[in-house]
Amino acid sequence: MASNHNLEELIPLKPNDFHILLALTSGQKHGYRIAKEIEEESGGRIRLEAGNLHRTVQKMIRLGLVEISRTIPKDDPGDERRKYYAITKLGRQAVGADLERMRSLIEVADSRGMFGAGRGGAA
Amino acid sequence: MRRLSERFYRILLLFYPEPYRRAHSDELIRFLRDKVVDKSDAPWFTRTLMWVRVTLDAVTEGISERIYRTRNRVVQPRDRWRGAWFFDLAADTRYAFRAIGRAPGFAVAMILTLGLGIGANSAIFAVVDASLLEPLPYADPDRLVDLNQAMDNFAIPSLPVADARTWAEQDELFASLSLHTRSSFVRTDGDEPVTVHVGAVGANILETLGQSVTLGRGFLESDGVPGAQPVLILLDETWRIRFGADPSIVGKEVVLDDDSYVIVGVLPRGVKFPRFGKLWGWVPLAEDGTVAGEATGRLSVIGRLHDGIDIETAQARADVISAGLAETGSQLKVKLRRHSGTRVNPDVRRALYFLSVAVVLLLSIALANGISLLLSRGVAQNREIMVRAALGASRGRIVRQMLSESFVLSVLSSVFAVGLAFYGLKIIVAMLPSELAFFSATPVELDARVGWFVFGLTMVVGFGLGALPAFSLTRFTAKTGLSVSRYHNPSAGKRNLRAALVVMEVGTATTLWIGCGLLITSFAKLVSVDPGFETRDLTFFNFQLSDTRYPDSNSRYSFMSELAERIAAVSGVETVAMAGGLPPEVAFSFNLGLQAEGSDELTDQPFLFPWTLVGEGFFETMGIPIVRGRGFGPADSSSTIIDVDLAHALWGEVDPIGRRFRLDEDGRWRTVVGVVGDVKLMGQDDRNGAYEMYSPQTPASVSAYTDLAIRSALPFASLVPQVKAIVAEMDPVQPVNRIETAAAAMAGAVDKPRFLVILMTVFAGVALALTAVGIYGVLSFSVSQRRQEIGVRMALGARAASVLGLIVRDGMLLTSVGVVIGIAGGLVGTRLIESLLFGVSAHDPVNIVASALLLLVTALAACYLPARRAALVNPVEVLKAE
Repeated sequence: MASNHNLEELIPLKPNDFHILLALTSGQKHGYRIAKEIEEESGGRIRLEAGNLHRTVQKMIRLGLVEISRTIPKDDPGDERRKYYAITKLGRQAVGADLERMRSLIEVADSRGMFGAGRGGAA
Repeated sequence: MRRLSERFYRILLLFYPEPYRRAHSDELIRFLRDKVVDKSDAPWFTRTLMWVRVTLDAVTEGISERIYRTRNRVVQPRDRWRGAWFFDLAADTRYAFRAIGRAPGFAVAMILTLGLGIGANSAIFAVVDASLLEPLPYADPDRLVDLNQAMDNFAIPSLPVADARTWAEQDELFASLSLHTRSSFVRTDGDEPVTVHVGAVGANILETLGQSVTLGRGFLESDGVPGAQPVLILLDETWRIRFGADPSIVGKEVVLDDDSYVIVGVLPRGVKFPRFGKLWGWVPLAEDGTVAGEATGRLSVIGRLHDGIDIETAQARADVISAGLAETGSQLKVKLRRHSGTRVNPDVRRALYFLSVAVVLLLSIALANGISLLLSRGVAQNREIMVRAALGASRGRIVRQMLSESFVLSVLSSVFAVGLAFYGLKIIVAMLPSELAFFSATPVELDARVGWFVFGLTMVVGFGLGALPAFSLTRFTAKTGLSVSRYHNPSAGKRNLRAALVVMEVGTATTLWIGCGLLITSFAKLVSVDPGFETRDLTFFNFQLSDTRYPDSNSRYSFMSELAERIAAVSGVETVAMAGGLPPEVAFSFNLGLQAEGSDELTDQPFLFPWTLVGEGFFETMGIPIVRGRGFGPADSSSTIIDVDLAHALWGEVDPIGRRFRLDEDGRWRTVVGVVGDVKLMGQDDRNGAYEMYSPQTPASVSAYTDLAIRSALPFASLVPQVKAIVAEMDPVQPVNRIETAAAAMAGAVDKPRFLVILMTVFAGVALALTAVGIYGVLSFSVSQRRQEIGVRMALGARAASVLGLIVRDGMLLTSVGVVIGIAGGLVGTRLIESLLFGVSAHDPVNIVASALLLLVTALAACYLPARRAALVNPVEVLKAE
């Protein structure tokens, strides 16, 4: 069922989806590693629990953004019965497209002088 | 723990639809496993929070997946796990929450009621579990046995040193055997000298117990030998409280009895061995049975049986070994006792069982109330249910929906209950009898085991609450369902069910009150017992004199008498007396036959008599009346003073002064020089020793444990520092062990009954309140259902008073039936506490009548409001509504 989804339909990505894909861009990972990395990268603000992460990943597999990896990464001496997830080509495109969307938003915001506002208008 | 958390998680996974679970549970569990390992070092609240998050996650995701599947018609295979419906709550949880949201008052009443029941059970379980159920913190604690010296009809929990050492070599029966004893030292490197009690243990004790130290090392064979550096292992509690859990404690020194001891290790939490009072730590016991160079008289022996040998087999083989050793001249017989079998005394165990029964009864009342509430609400919902049935919902489907609501209510109640138990336990722990505080295997707290208990209870309550109403309310066919009128009364069956619930509640509450009444009466009698001495202005001081500085009785005598003299000279102090044991617990109590001179035989019954050594002026200081003869003078050594009861038992009305008696057939003759009033030397309960005997404290008879009784009008707070100052002046390293007013000492002797009576009164009070609510609820409901009938009666000429009587009669009839059943229950049930009662018979008729009256009066009050409402029914309005 993979990749018959249009990129347009997938964007914008939901925050959790985005974080998971971003975590997978640096290589395939198993569930807990993904959650842990997201938690660290977000400074502890985003915590994914087992069920939530798992269902999100299942959904992204259905959407063709993520696939179950056939190989086990060498640097992870983990349990070989674990499932490792990898980002698909569509997944990378989606992350890229979403980043592009954000960049344009940032440009708009910047042109309106929004970036000083949060820090008290020092600009 | 890890297995436990996984099992818990597997149950949570039941929230997911079965196919999803089958495909993904391995992954989910692996995730959790990683997480648990990751967080294993986190503080407990972080871990608790984690579990809350994990639980919420499983519940919400499980339900979401179900919703997703239903919406997207993901095919659910029908091969469902057989018991799945029981846990298959998730699909109905939303419905349940909505139903609760519609009637918040109903939910609050339910949560309060059930929460009280579950909370009381959780708190008592925490106490029972810590003191009776939870295994001792040793490997295979059931294989640990204590070696006792068997006498004719009792056993001494220690062996003479030579025999202990012989038995310690019996490796045929035991995988490991360790010798141990108790000792105490004075620690002098703190602010003021304190006595510390230690276990003196053989080097292999950790091996025998199957434990290890958490810091440092255990003892080595070389530690106990003469000349070795003295070493010490701390109890976890000591380490935490006295040394601030210092992680670098190992290697530090402590001064005990003027010697410097190096701390070499810290024991794990919960290890309290040997089991007695306030243990501080361990010192090594040398192989020859000496502690710090001092010889000991007897040693205790604990052994770990070889795998596969049960205690009966072991006893049989031990008998053979005893017989073999008899040839070498030993007369010793060894009786093996399970080490874990001697944790708390039978009375305390009985009290705990009794409390457990009480809280279970309390829960059953709460449950009955809950069921009753659900039934009355269910009747209101009847039409909704029938419509659903008519539209094609199967009975199973409707039952499941109703059950899920009761499970949700039960879970919410448990949350409330845990909060209740948390604060309740704080109060309970504060008043825990010292025996339970010392001897529980683990601290009394809400630990994982209590958590599982609450979880189990929640499931039972959830099912127990919902099952009856669910099945009773769905016993219909769709046809009859829709044809009932708006005025449909609950069927006779349902009304009978609710009546039965009220009868059961009243019966249970009556039984509880009969038990509670007995405990209250018994406690009141106990505390009003005249101790036989004047407790006002009397303070008790206990000293433990060091063996090294006061090696013999003479030196102890001169220290104590000088101390007594100096204290007596303080202005405001009236008199001071020395004693070798004071009430409520003197050092010795014997159970022996007595023989009066001139009589050929011993008394028929052995006497349980406390015996204490007292100094000059003792009876005057204590305020004990001398009935005949005199107190002890300075030159007395072989004379004896007895109390009036013993005098009467030995000689009847004859004047006992100058007469002689002896203990057993071979004791020496003792001359009675005085008879004094009855004193409760062994506490208020006379059954612990009713016949007192006093011998004079002489320079040759002073033991290391000695007491001073001080009569002084000075306030406690000003007397104590003055006494301490005098002690410090005479011997700066001599601690004062125990300081208590006589009144506090006597009050301390009833801490167990007080504990029991307070908890029991609280539980019985809650039971009574719940029962009243139950009666009120049923009658209110019945009045609202019968408005029409009542209106017709009044239209036909019934007066308000007769309507009032009608409803009250209904309620009181149910109550009376319940009371009768409750009395029967009480007559049987109170046997459990017979041995705990003092001065009142378990079948005391006054108590039974009082309990019955209490229930009847409460029920009458509960009937009144609904009955009044019935009497105020306006017949015109009711008939108009028709």
